[in-house]
Order: sequence, then structure tokens, then C-alpha cells
Amino acid sequence: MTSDKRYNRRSFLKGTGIAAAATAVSWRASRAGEPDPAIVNLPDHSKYLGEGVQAHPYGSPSQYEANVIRRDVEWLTATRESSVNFTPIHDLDGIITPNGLAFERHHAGVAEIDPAQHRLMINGLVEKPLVFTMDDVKRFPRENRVYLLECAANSGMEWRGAQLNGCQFTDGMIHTLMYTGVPLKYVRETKPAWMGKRMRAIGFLLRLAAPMALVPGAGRTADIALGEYLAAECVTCHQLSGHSTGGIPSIVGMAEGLFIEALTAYKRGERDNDVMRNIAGRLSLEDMAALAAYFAAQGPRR
Amino acid sequence: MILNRRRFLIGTSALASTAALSAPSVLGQGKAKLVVLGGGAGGATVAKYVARDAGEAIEVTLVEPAKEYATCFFSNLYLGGFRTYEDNVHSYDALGSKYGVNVVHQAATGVDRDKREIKLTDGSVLKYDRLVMSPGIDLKYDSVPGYSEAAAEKMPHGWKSGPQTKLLKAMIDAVPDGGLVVMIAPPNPSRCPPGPYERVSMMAHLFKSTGRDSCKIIIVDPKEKFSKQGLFQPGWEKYYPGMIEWLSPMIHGGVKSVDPSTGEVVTDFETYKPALANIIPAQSAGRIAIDSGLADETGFCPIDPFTMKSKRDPSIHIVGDACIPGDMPKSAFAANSQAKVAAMSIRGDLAKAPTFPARFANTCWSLIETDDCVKVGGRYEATEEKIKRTEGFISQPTDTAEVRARNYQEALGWYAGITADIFS
Repeated sequence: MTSDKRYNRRSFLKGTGIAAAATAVSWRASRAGEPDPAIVNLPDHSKYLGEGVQAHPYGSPSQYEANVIRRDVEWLTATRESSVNFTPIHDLDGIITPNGLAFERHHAGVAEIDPAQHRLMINGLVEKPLVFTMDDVKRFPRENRVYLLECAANSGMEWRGAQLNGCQFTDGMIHTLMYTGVPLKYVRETKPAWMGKRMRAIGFLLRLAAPMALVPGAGRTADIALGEYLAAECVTCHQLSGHSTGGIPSIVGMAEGLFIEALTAYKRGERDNDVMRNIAGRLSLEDMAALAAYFAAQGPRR
Repeated sequence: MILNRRRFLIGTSALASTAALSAPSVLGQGKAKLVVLGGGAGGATVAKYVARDAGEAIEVTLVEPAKEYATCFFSNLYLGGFRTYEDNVHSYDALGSKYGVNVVHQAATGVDRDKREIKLTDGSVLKYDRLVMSPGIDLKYDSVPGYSEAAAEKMPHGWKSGPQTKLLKAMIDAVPDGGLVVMIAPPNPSRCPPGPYERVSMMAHLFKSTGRDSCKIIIVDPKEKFSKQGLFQPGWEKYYPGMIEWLSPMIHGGVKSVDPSTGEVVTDFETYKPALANIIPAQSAGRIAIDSGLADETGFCPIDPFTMKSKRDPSIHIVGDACIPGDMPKSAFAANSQAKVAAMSIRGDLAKAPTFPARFANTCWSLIETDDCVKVGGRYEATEEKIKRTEGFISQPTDTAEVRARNYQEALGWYAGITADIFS
């Protein structure tokens, strides 16, 4: 049996080898009958043992796919946290994007969420507010659905002419994933207190609320009095009138998220200015949120 | 975190209001009275911030003899031909019209700390609940043998902005090619530690750019080393080779005398007869602070680092060059930074406004040659002992030309920013 199988596989391989040779015939003919080393030499993987089966407890790609990765564009966004990376669509086959290659857009860096601490809260326009843990949610029947998701700004970098050198960057804000989850209707049926008509509004609100929660400072009231005091340090250089002179930019009316990101980048030494690193070095996130709220309130949005 | 800080603040403002209760006038006559002596980077900032943020509760009077303020900071750029004198002049108008500060253009002749009164040159008296002293520096002319206020007309110091700055500029402009300049640098502590060396750079720049390549500048320094030395000296070698010579006390052996009638400067090492002698003597807090008994044996005024209050009188805050600022240098940036801490403390005392932990920062930019600007800076925190430096930075000798040019743009932006922060 064993030898039969081997024979069978060999003959199959021979078959494909012939097909390959046929396409290469014209090329091979010019090499005066030299045999193709890729065919006649025994490859290393046939001569030596490979890695143990448990060498990579969580699967990782073959070294021959090391180039198949998400990439970002350093200059595209003001910071590396509020930024995007792109799906390598040119290197993918089939319709499902591997999770590790699905593009990601974040406004405040990647949030590490502990499932044990994660809660689904439904409140607002409901008769009875509810909170579910992940374990609660997992007790409902699940459904698998495949969705294509594309960023509304995909290809946007090309709208005013080409500026990026590959389709990964121009069109890579797209992926198709299979999602496993629990439809909200199951939750509703289990909790009869819910009003059917309001459910859609709630689902919508939930989707809206999710990205906002990622912005530090949003969703809580920053301390304006603290912001005003801390700002006294900033306005030694950055003019409160919003005027900008020499190398000092205006920070009046700056979007809060950008403001916090910029200070964070100085604090981490990722942005290059000694004075700003010096100032940002002693600002807590709470200080930054207070400053951001203060300056955002001092003039029209920029 | 928030709760903790709030609690702390409630605690401090409770303490502060007990202190304010001991001032009967606060309760008796409506608005509390703040008087600020000195309208520079320290005093004018306190006046503006208190009036802006607590004008309904506190009446603010700024006593400053000058009708308009010429900044000492950036005066070196005027000497070097990068700015006009007028570029450095600022009006007090907005302090009155925009913020309601009562600006009194007189000098204070005395302070009665027991009665909490100030006498002005016209004989009138101002009462205060809180006083801010920001008189800047006085020059200790006799620290240089032979030097005096009268001698400064022949051998200008140019270390206080005004007529001295213009006189120095005129004399620099008049130095002939091949002429000698001798600068006597001040000992520590002094206003603007890198200032003398930036000034020398600006003189050299002017000589070089007006065809006076054979001029020579000698710095007679009482200090073994000086601010940003590792940046200035390579800069001088690069741009003005052979033009500037710095003499440490080990070389010159000390200043023996200066003579305004002959123009001579005599050191233990040599006698010079320069075309221009720029004598920057030792310094102390402004006269009024010393006469009021607020200075210690150093000639400057000890303060409480958490509030900028005088250690000798809790109803007086002292900011800027006159105070002993711990690790901070005597600079406009530092004075402005201290002023904001003082303003907060005063509003806490007199208007029961919320207070926050003191924060201090400083940066000094110095121009060596066109588009080659270096900087040094730090941040500081209040400790029981002093205002303590916690972190800092300094330009590197290996900086690219682009970085140095950017520093200069930053300095210009800072000047516009701080003068707007103080005066508009």
C-alpha cells in the first residue's frame, strides 16, 4: 500500500513536472540541455527535519511570505497613533483577508481591551438599561457572516493626483472578514422589556459611540480651570490671539484629539523639539486633556 | 487622582483664606488691593493675569516709572543689527484698557511693610493687601574698581534696557576697523547668563558684516566657565576666527581698575586701551527690594518656591531677577513663569480662586551668527529647599544648520509670544 501511494504521488508529480517543463521549453532550449536545478536537486526540506509541530503555538506565516504584511505611510498622518495601516491586497488570493493582514484605522493608538473587562451596555432610549459581559454574550446563539469593509476614504490619497507608489497604499483600506457574533435581535427576544422600534436607534447609537470611546478625553469633562492654569505656560510662546510668528505655530482651536496626540508624541520623544519635549514631559494625560479642551475652546476649529 | 488633587486644593484654599482674614481691609472695603512694583516680564505678567482672572475681586495697580517698556531680552539682536530699538518697545496701554490694571507711571520711593503702604515720588501713598516686587536688578558699580554710574556714560554696561542700550549701540557702530573692544563680564548670579556671550557674537557679526574684519573683542571674565560655553566658543571659531578672545580669571588675574577718563581697563595681566569698554558689573535685586529688607546677604530676595512669596513677608510676592530662583536662571522667560505662579497664589489668597501646584519652565535662545541659534532650557518644580531643576536640554555642537536655523525662528516666535503674553 505504501509503495503504491508513493508511486501514485510520484507519477502525479511527474505529470505536473511535464506541464511546468512545457511552459519553460523555449527558455530551457537555449541553455543547451542543462537540467533545471529546481527540478533535479533535492531541496533541503526533503533532506532535513523541519521544526517541531509545536514550534509556533500561534501560527505565523512562512518566511517566504515575510513581505506579505500591513504597511503604513509615515508622513501621511501627524502621529503614528492616529493613523492607518493598509491591507497588502496585491499579495492576497481568495476573498477572505487573514486577520493579521486586515487594515486598521485608529484615532488614539491600538486599544488593548481585556475581554474580561469588556461590557456591552445598552442604555439611553430604552425602558430598561442592560449590561452584558462577554460571557453573557457568548451564551446566545452565534452566527457567522462574511462582510466586506472599506474605509470611506479608500483611494482618497489619489484624488488630487498620484502620490503613493503601490495599490496597497492607494486602495488597501479594505478587507473581507468573517465575523462571528450574536445578532441584537436575540438579545431583544431574551429581554422582553425591550421596545422593538427603539432597537434600531440603539444599534445605531452603539456604532456611533464605539469610535468616540477611543479618543482620550472624550466622554468626560476635562478640567477647564486646570487647563487654563496649565495653558499659562503654553502662551509664553503660543499666542492666545491665534497669531503665529516665526517658528511657533498657533494651537488655538486645535482639535482635541490631535492636540493630545501631538503632546504624547513629544512626551515619548517621537517628535523632535527640545522645548516641547521638556514641556510635555511632565504633563499627565489628564493635564493634556484639560489643555486640549481649553485651547479648543479659545477659537474656531482649525 | 482628580479627587486627590481637588482635596489637596480645597485644603490649600482653606488655609489661604485664613491668611486673607488677617488682612482687615480685604473684608472691610470690597475689593482687595494688589500693588505691583515694576512693569517688566515679571511684574506686568502678574498684573495682567490677576486683573484678567480676578478683576472683579481684586483691584490691581502697576507702578512703573517708564511710559513704555523696552525689553532687555532681544536687545543683543538690536546691537547686532537684526532688529531696531523700536522693535523691542512695548506699550502698557492694553493692561489698562483691556484688563483694567491701574498703571501709575511713577517710581516707588519706600515701602512700609507694617502699614502695608507704598510711597511714590509725588508723595502719594498706595495701600496694599498684597504687594508684588518685581524691580529687576540694580548694578553694583563698585564691584569693578573705578566704575560708577557716571562712568557708565563713557563705558556703558547696557545691562538695563533704555538709554544705556542705545549708547552702547552707538559706540559699537563707531568702533573703527582694527579697533579693540573689551567686555568685563559679570560674576554669578546675574541677569541673562548667556547674554554677554551672545552680545559679543552680535558685535562680531556687525564688525564682520560692515567690513571691520580686523576688530578684536576681549572678554575679561570673573567666572571660570560660562553659559553655553561649549556652543559659543566653537561658533566663534567657525564664524569669527581670531576675533574673539575669552580670558578666564586664571589668565587675566582679576580686574585692577577701569578709568573712564583715559578709557583704560587694567587687569593683573595687561592694560588695555580699547575703543569700547563694555563693563557689566555684579548685580543685586533692585534697590527698593533691598531697602524694604527683603533681600539676604546675597543681595537677592529669598522666596517660598511653592508660591513665590517672600520668606520675610508673606504679604509680598517677589518674581523675576530680584528673587533667588533656585536652579532657574534670571531670564524674562523665568520671570514670566514665576509671575504666573505668583498670580495664582494671589488669586487664591484674595479671591479664593482654585490653586494648582506650582510649575516652572525656562528656555534661553542665543544667536551666534545669522541663522545659527542655540538654546538651553529646563523644567523645575517647587521643593521645600528651592525651585529645583528636574530636567533640561541644551543644543548640541553636532546640530545641523537646519536645526540651528529653526531655533532662530523659534526664538522669534517666542519673543512675539511672550511680549503678547505680557503686554496685549
